[in-house]
Amino acid sequence: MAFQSRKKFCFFKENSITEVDYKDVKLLKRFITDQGKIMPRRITGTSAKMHRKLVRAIKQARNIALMPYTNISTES
Amino acid sequence: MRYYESLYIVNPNYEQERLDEVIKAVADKSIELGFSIINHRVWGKKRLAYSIEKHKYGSFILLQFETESITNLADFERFMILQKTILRNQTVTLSVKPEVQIEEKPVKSVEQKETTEDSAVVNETKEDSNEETNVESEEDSKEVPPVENEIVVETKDASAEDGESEEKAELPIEEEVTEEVTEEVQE
Repeated sequence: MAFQSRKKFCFFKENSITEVDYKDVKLLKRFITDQGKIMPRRITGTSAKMHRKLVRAIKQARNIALMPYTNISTES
Repeated sequence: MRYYESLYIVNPNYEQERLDEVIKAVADKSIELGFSIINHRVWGKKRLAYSIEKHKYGSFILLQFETESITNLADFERFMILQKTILRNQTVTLSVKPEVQIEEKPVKSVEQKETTEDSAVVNETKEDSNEETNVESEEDSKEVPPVENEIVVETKDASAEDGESEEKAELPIEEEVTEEVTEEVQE
């Protein structure tokens, strides 16, 4: 029996979200790792178009200190 | 017409009056540069994801405006950077015109004014009618000073005791000094 992986889907397409707001930290946190890295779209399954918007929003949120660049240094 | 959104972080230790001054300065500058403000409101005091200038919290203020000229944006950016009160700022473009959000503060302020007026009227009536209570309160106020005097006396005693103890502490040293002097003389 071959192990079937769960089918990936675009979160934004499922929820009919067209624009990603950098102030919506709760949404953006779904797409970063515990370390604070942006997760690749081969794992999240987001479409290329929305992934570009997502990456831009995360970087904008990092710049204005809504999201961390990294979580490693903050633990100490 | 292009729409922009500027989010800036102000020092969290500032009081409401000082925060209002910063907001007013930014609003004046944006009007001076020809921006038409759509929204300008305090988003709230939030914890920063990383410390900026040793501040762990920051007061976030959101400014949404529209303008045609892009050249003034650079001047606005420079103005925001030069402000010492603003820790960080970021201006981004908006694809859609933002909705005008009506703040509830003016309504509250009107209510507060009404309540203050009512309370003032009540105070006036109290002052007119209850003169005896004022006399009693004066008597109460007169009764308070003796307690303070007692405290002062106690502090004086304590200081006097301290002085005595200091004198006691100093005395042995003087004796030792005198003994040393006598020994030197004998030699």
